[in-house]
Amino acid sequence: MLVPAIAVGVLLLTAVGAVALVGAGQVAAVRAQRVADVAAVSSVRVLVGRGGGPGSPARARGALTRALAPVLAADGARLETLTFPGEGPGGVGVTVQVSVSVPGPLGTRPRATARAGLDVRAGAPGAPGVATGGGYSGPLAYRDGRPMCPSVAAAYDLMDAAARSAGVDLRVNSGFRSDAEQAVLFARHPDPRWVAPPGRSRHRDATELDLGPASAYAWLAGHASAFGFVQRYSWEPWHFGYVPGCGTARGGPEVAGWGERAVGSAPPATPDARLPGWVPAAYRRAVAASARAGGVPPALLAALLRAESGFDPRAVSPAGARGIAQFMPATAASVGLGDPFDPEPAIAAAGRLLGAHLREFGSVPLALAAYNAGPGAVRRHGGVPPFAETRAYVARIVALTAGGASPGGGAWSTGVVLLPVPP
Amino acid sequence: MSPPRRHQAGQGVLEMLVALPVLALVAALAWQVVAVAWAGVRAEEAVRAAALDAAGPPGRPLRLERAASVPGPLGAGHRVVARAVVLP
Repeated sequence: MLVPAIAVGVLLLTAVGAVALVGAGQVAAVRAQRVADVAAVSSVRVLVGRGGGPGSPARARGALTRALAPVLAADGARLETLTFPGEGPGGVGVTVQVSVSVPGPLGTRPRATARAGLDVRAGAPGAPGVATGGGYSGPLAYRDGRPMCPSVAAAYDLMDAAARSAGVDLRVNSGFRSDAEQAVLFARHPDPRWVAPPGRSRHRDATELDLGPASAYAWLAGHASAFGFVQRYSWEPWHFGYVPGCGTARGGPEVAGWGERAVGSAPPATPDARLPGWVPAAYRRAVAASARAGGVPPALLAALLRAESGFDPRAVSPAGARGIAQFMPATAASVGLGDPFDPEPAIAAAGRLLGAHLREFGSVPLALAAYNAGPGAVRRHGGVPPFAETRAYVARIVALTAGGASPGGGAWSTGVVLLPVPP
Repeated sequence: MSPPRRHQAGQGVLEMLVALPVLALVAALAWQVVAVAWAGVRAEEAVRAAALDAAGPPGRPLRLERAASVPGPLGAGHRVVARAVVLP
């Protein structure tokens, strides 16, 4: 009697123990997947924040291993592998796959794998507006619902990302204003000290932004010049103008030169000082000047050249693209470039072409996709074409701008997403 | 013959009476284990979702915590907590 009862008791307790073990194993498996997912996403965020991979895969792996230490330590997890699928000769891309293990029941270590990257499946950002009735005539891009020319929007994205990194949340309160809109404002406040008369406001050029909130003024005064913006008037700490202009804006008063002093802030550095440190000294001035001429953010043009050729003026791709900006012969001819191996004219042509795409599509990812796959492909697909090469190209350049260009092409989003892990 | 049979039947009833509470206790224990594990899975999923949506200054580790309450009368008032560190 006693022995069977004990046996049944032991059996039941064993069953409960088994249920507990299965439960603990299930929780550990879920935790392992969570740690892997978070580690993969964190890795891509780190890469994007650094402006792309810091060079060789070994160096990138070392940097990410150090950065991920607190993420893994919180769960007693161990990094088993960290790879960069799709890494190319120009360095790592912005897709990361990590495999981790976490402590499980009975000394087991369940493993999980996750892959993350940048999502650049940006669609066309709606029907772009067209500016009329002011100094600027051309397409408009919108940030916070306010119109501006696409070049200004791209530069604003760079500045917005930098501000976000510093804990400052910028907001656009006003952008392009037609003369008719300015007339309404002037009628309400007919004091030229505060509201310019119609035809005299710089807002008609689509280069001017009224920014906020007030808590951001100090950050803007110290940093806006690094992105091509200057504070126009000492008594308006919110009013910033984009010095390189819109590229094709017609009419309106000429904006001041690139080196114009920002009111109430330190004198801006030389144009090429606004470029990332990895731009070779030999090309810094050409990149800065070409970006200004094309109405393109200098950091964006620099990132494009790095992704295209690694700044090698003799580069030739297997497909036949040539030179520092990797022009195909037909494209070079269409932009009036005689010798694609001559770096300075090639950089200038790249700035003009990228600026034209930026103005047509009003979105950094779409402009980059047009540079890589052609504007026809972007129009046909209504967004970044579904070509693996083009998507990787756009993601890499967006990352090289240190997260300055929103992968969504509009309102800021990190664009970092989990990707399926191939079997 | 009949007294031993009655005796056996009585013993069976007695064993049943003893076994029932034990079985109920074991079942409750098993249910509680499952409930705790289920709460652990839900807490992990909640902290995972929060970590993937985390926003903040890039590069600075962000510590997140999510809790899930243990279902059932035995677990009333108890919660399982999951914590994660993420780089925004």
